[in-house]
This record gives sequence, C-alpha cells and structure tokens, in this order.
Amino acid sequence: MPRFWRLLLISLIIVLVLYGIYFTLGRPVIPLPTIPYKVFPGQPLHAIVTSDGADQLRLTLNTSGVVEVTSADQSVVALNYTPDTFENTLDLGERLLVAQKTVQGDGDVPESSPFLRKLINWVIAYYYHVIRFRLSVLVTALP
Amino acid sequence: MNKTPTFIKLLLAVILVLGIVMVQQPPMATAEIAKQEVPTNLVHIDITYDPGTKSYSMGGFSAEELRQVGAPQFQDEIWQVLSMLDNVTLMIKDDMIDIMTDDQHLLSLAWDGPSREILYSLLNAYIELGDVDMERAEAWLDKADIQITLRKSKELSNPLQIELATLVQVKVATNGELSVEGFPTGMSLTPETMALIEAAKVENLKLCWNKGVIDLQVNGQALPQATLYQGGLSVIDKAFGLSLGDLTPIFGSSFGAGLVIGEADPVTGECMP
Repeated sequence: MPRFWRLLLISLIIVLVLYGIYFTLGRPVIPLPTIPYKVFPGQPLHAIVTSDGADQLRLTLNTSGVVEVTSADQSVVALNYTPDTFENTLDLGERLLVAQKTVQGDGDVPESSPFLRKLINWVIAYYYHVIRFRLSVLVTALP
Repeated sequence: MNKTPTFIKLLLAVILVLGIVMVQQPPMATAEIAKQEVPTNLVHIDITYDPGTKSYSMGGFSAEELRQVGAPQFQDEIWQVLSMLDNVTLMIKDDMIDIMTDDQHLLSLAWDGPSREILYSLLNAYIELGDVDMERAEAWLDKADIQITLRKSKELSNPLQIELATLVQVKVATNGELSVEGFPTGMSLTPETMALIEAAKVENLKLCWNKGVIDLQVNGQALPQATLYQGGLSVIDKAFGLSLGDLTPIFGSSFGAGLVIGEADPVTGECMP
C-alpha cells in the first residue's frame, strides 16, 4: 500500500478513535481560551459593565445550546437554543428585516441566499450535535 | 499485498465498534410524565391595610410602589368599613366560594357549573355577554383557585402568587386596536407597526412567563428560551436607570398570553411548565 494511503488510513482511525472516546464521554463541552475585550469610558457598553461594581461582564457561548451573560458570577440572562429554534429565529429576523426595508420603501430589499442559510444551519447543527465548544468574551471596563 | 487487507480489516473493525457505541442510546428515563389534571388558574393576593395612615400594600408591593403605578386610593367610607375588621378572606376553590371575616365563616356559595351559569345569566341581563365570552369565562373559572386576603396590619403584604394556566387572549384588529379577552383597551398600535407586522407575515404570538423563564412562539414556531435572573436583572436596572423596584412577586409568578393579529385563529394551548 502506498505510504500516503497508509498515513491517511491511520489518521482516519486515530480521529475515529478519539471521537469515539469523546462521544462515549458524553460529548463534553471543550473550553476555548477567553477572549478579552476592553471598553473605554464613554462607550455605550461601559455603563452596563460598571453598573454592578464588578467592572466585568462575561458573554459565554456554549455551542451545546446556551448563550449566557454573567456579571460578577451572577447570571444576568441566558438563552437556550436548539438548531430548530435557531433556524426559527433566523427566519423571523430575516422576515422582519425585509419587512422593515419594504415599509421604509428603501427599494433595496436584501435577497436571502438559501445556500448561506443552509450553511449557517449546518454549522450550528454540527457544533450542537457533533463537537461542542465553549467560547467566552470577557468585557472589562477601563477606569 | 498481505498488509492491505489487514488495514482494511482494522478500519472496518474500528468503524464497527464505534458505530455500535454511537448507535447505543444512553439509558433514558422512559417513565411517562404523570399527566396533570386540568390545569388550575391560581391567584393568591394578600393585601395589608393601615386605616391610620389610609395606606395599603398589595401582593408584596409597598404603598409607595403602588402609588407610583397609579393604584387607586380607597374612599373614606371604605376605610371606615375596613377599620372595623381585622381581616377578610375571599376564597374561590373547586365548587365553592367562601368568605371569612375575623377568622369566622361568613358565608359559602355554590360555585359549580350550574351556579356559574346563573351568574352569567345575571350578567347577561346587564351587559352583553356573548357565547364566546362565556366560553372564555369558563376557561378562566372552571378550575380556579382564587384567594384574596385583606389584613389590618402595617407590615408589607405577602408576595403575589399567580399561576395561570389559561392564556390571556389579546387581539390586535386590522386597524391596530388592541383588545384583551374581547374587551377594548383603548390602546392601539401605530400604522407603521401594523404595516411592519403585516409585511413580516406575523399572525400570532404565544408568550409564556414562568418564574423568569420566557418561552415565545411566533406563528407556532418556537424561538430560543430566555431565562432572566432576578439578581442579574438588577444589573440591567442599574445600568439603564429603570427603577424597576422589587420584582419578587413577578419572579414568583407564571402566566402567558396569546396574541392574534387580524383575523387569524386564536392561540390555543396552555403555559404550564
């Protein structure tokens, strides 16, 4: 067997074994490094971040279906989504956007791309069902 | 030549093992959720009053908070009556209405289907109560657990307890006029908002609030479930200067509304968790 195919097969087996382990462990959420984001006084977000005295706000996206905003370890709001409810939200948002353009008589009503919609839904469903990540953005208010 | 089949065999074996592992469903609790009985509309309101200062607290809201939202003030005649009593309790539960004064049973009334029909007939004589409204009244009162307690006390009243299974039916007419359970509110949506709703083809909404958890359906399609935390809401309150006050009674309640735009069919279903 050529070396290329052998390497490919071995890689495939390793990937399958690793995913098998990940799957049998219950597909735990893989945490990614936190992204820091600083806001300066005067910016609209600054008032919100500083309102509880902690001067920090954390936005967490858990691709298993949770978006959460926390402030000083206190949950502010959480959104629980599934690929279906996400698709419904996209659908509603698109219809409202088109309706707004139509009512305002802008003329340039944006046309939706079915391929793009499907691609977004596939990506959401993939990270919801197959591999799950946790991505956090830590917003810090500068004095 | 001999090694190639070994690799393929190995690959097939791994795929087979992983396939079996992945196809196997985790043991799930298959016990059926016990079917609840017909959902009850529960409303418990505690009112404390102080005839000395002629102020009252209701459902956990202080007199000052009630004044801010424009709650009506009692007339002197009512204060005179209240000052003679220590407490009054009205209870509507199952098929009975009970009224207690100063811990003594004052009266009991039958509150079964036939007696409610008599009440509707009496109301019919004074106001035009159509068939549909009677249906709605039955939807609200057939399984009701209502308790209103008036207590002579200076302390803050107990938090409001509302758990409504029946959806509040809200209708927006084609001209934007808003009615609740068939009663016009005098409020209406602007023509621009109506045009936007019509262009977006939004026909109905179902909104359920259950102790901070919000479920919303638009045209029967569910949107992501939102959870508002009472402690966290104070962050938003401070940030935007909303002066929301104590929201404990709201966060202890559950209720829902079905909103219909134009001539679409009423929203059905309930808001039970």
